Amino acid sequence: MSILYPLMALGVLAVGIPIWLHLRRRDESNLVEFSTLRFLDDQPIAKARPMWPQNWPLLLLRMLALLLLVAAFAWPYVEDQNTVIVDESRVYILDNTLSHQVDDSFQTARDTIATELAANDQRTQIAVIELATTAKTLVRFGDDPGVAADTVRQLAPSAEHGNFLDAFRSATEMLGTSLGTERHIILLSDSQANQWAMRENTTPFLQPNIKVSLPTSRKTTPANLSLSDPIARRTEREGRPGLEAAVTLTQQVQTPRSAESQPTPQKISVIFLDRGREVFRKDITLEPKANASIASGTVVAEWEANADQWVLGEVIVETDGNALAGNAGNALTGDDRVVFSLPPQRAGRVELITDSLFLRRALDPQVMKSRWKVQNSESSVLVDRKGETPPDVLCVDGQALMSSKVRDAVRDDLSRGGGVMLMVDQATPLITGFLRELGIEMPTDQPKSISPATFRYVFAEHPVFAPFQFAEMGNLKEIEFNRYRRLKVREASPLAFSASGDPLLFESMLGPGRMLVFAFAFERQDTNWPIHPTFIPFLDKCLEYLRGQSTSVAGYEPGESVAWELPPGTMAEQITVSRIDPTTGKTDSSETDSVRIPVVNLTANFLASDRPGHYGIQYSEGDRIDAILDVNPSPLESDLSYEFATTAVASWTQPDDGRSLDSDLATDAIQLAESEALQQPYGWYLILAALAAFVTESIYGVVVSRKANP
Amino acid sequence: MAVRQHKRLIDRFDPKVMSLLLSLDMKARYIVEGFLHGLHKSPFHGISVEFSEYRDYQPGDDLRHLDWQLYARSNRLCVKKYTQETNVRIYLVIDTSGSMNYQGSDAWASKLEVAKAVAAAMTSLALRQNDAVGLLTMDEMAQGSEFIRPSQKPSQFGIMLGHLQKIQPAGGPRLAELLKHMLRLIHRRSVILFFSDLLEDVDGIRESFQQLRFLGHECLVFQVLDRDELEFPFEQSSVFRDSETQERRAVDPNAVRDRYLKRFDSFLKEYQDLFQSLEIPHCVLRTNQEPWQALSLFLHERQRLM
Repeated sequence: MSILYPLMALGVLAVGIPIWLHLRRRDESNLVEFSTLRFLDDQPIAKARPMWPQNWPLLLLRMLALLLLVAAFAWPYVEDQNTVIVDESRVYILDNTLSHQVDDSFQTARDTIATELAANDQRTQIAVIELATTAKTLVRFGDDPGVAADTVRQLAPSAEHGNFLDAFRSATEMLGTSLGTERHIILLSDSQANQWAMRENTTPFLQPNIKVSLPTSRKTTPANLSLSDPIARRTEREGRPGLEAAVTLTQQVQTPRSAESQPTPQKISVIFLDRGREVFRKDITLEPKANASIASGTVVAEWEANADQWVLGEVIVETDGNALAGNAGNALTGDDRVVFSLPPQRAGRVELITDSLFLRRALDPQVMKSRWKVQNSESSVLVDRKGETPPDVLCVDGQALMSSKVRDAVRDDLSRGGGVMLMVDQATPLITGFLRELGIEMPTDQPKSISPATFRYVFAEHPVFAPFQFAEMGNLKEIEFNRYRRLKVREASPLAFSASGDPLLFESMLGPGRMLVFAFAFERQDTNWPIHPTFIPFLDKCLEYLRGQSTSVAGYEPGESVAWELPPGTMAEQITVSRIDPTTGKTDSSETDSVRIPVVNLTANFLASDRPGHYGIQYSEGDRIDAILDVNPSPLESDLSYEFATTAVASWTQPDDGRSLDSDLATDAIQLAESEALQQPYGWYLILAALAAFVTESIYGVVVSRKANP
Repeated sequence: MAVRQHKRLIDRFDPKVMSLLLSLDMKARYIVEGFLHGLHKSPFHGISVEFSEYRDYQPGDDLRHLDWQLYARSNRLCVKKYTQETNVRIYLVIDTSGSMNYQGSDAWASKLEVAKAVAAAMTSLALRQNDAVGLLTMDEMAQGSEFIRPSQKPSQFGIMLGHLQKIQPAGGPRLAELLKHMLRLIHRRSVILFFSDLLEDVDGIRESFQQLRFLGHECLVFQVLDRDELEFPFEQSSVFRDSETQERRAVDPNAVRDRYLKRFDSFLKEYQDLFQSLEIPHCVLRTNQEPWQALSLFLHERQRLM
């Protein structure tokens, strides 16, 4: 860089601008345009233009400010030993999903990045994004290389599942503010095929000047065994409580098979554990599949289980020593274990004040044994509840509502967070008034007869209807209604409508308790539901819901977002989520996975741990576990099929706008100048000094002006 | 009483309002309405119509024109007919030399703008009296004169406003040339209103004014001057540039003020003597004061001529 450089010469010439401005402005400021000088013709003729500066400090300040600005913008071109120019900005996307742990690929990739960070190459900027359920920024541009290397080195492998789209978006965003003239995204991944999902309908976001390096292809797809989708339910056999559990076993064989490796049977064992104790073992010989690359089956186990405590189930798969030969193998061990849990079985208490024989029969101890304890009461002689534990659910019909004791009981149960199931089987002024209290209007002009109706619209996501989305639970469309009351909603939400649009089932939102209101009675003259196979399961689901148990799903994947709904009436302001030791069944608060989550509107939002296992949720201090989360790896991570020549990156890349090579070079030159200028601390200091000089000049100018024109 | 009324007029005139009024039409209305509001007696009453003859009353005739005395005397219903009074031809002559562009710090407009506003107001007043109004000016840009033939049609006001708005100050002294041009154009006896700062030699225009008077024209001269010209209130030593000749002189106002004022007063005196000798009413119109004095003079002279 020298004075002969054209831009530098122009910059120095610019110093002449303040001189010209100074002389010109001085001239203009003292000039008076007057109508005539005929009466001042004896005064001396003024010079055409004053050629000598009048206010030296002002002129020097202006020249100084401009010189500083010229120097500031020229500084990036002055190269010395301390000047560091970043040639390349590089973002590593480190795949930390479960599948990347095959052959220790994750550890290898992690160490590669850590080594590169530790090398501290000044001409290369490095950032690292961890790809898991979401893309997390692990190292930013400008982080201390030593600390960044340690951060990467300490990163533990996770069992999460994620896709590449979020990571590439984050990387592009980071590169938008990078300093390097060359921008580079390097994906360190196994390039699992299902991680390239979401490539369609995505607006291109990758700039064409960003270079993307994808992993190289693998020659074979490894063989693998995995467990997934554990389910369990309590049973009772010969009067003893038991448990039935099932798990899906998936076998993926190596493709393409090598010529020398002949398919051989593989012996494996599927072991079921309850609280760390082996309760069931099944030895299986997996025959080689000639045509299929993936095969799956279900392993079912049954054992006796204590109904009074949580079931902390675990299923693992073990392979014999020769398993890795031939087509058999188990490349990924993280998916060889799944967990499941079931809450202790506690029979709910139902107080039944209805004349419906069907309800009484359905809730008979022989039918609802160990699930519901039913107390049949008469409305006229309602049991005095003083000193007794109130029932979980109060089940009443319209006839019973004629009694003030029953109405009071309904109000009490709702206000203390209990459940109420109400069948409106008649329209009387008393019932109408009481329903109005509950936010439901019953018009007086009720139709005397209606044509048979069926369910038409159902709130399928509601806990009482959700199980009926599966065909094995029965078809609710087969239920017919010959008679029902027309009700209008004021402060309740309808859950089911008839074909004619009349609401048949409501949920009232008053008070902390839950209440379901049926527009019909469970009688044959009203509906055929009591003789339909769905009746008892539906009744059971309704009672469970009214009982106030949490409706949240208990199974999650590592890193998945959880919105945990607390049961109504829970006063907790925060919950504690801790990992559970399956052998003891107790939470270990010393674990790093133990977190406290604030509760807002009876909902706690948090992310499931990235380590599979049982996690206890406690609503209060102490040892009591109120709920258990089962965190299992995503089955997608066990699908070890890869995609290398991916078109996803091409579809994410913005089209080139057709600029010529020259304009590209010009843009590169500008970017070079911008990036270099941004890296010059002295350049910034000079700009600040120039601004200070301008401010001083302005203040000085104002002072001078005020003195001249007070 | 006159003093009290004058104070009220001053109170109603706000230079700030005038400077905010952008359209010449609005300025003219502001001046005229303010002026008329201050008068208790209409200036038009009794001067524009004259009784002509009787005719028999026809149903539908305005009963105000019915002559009740004649009816009482002769039992005849007759309506009085009137004839429009003979009107005056008025010419507005505006000086557009460069010096008319000057506007002092406390003026509500430049000298030319003040002249244009007052001229517009007088046009409005004259047309209300059914006088014919015309315009004569020299336009530097158009390299010639702008002449609008006098007319008493109501539309004349818009025509006059349109031309007045187009006038721009430029160039050197031109009043002498304007007067000569006028002598060639105006033959019938007329009332001529001059708007100029008269910053020219008296000798150059003396002869032209004498000829105008000889030809029987009634002249009124409104000399538009700025307070800066009359009082020379400058303090700081500055370079003064002549807006007409672009001549530049270094002036120390404190040192030359007395001499300037003395020379300026003597210059004004020369003009006053000239106009006095020719019996031409002369009024100094200051750009920082209300213009009603000029309107009052105009109406007074108008009434005298009738």
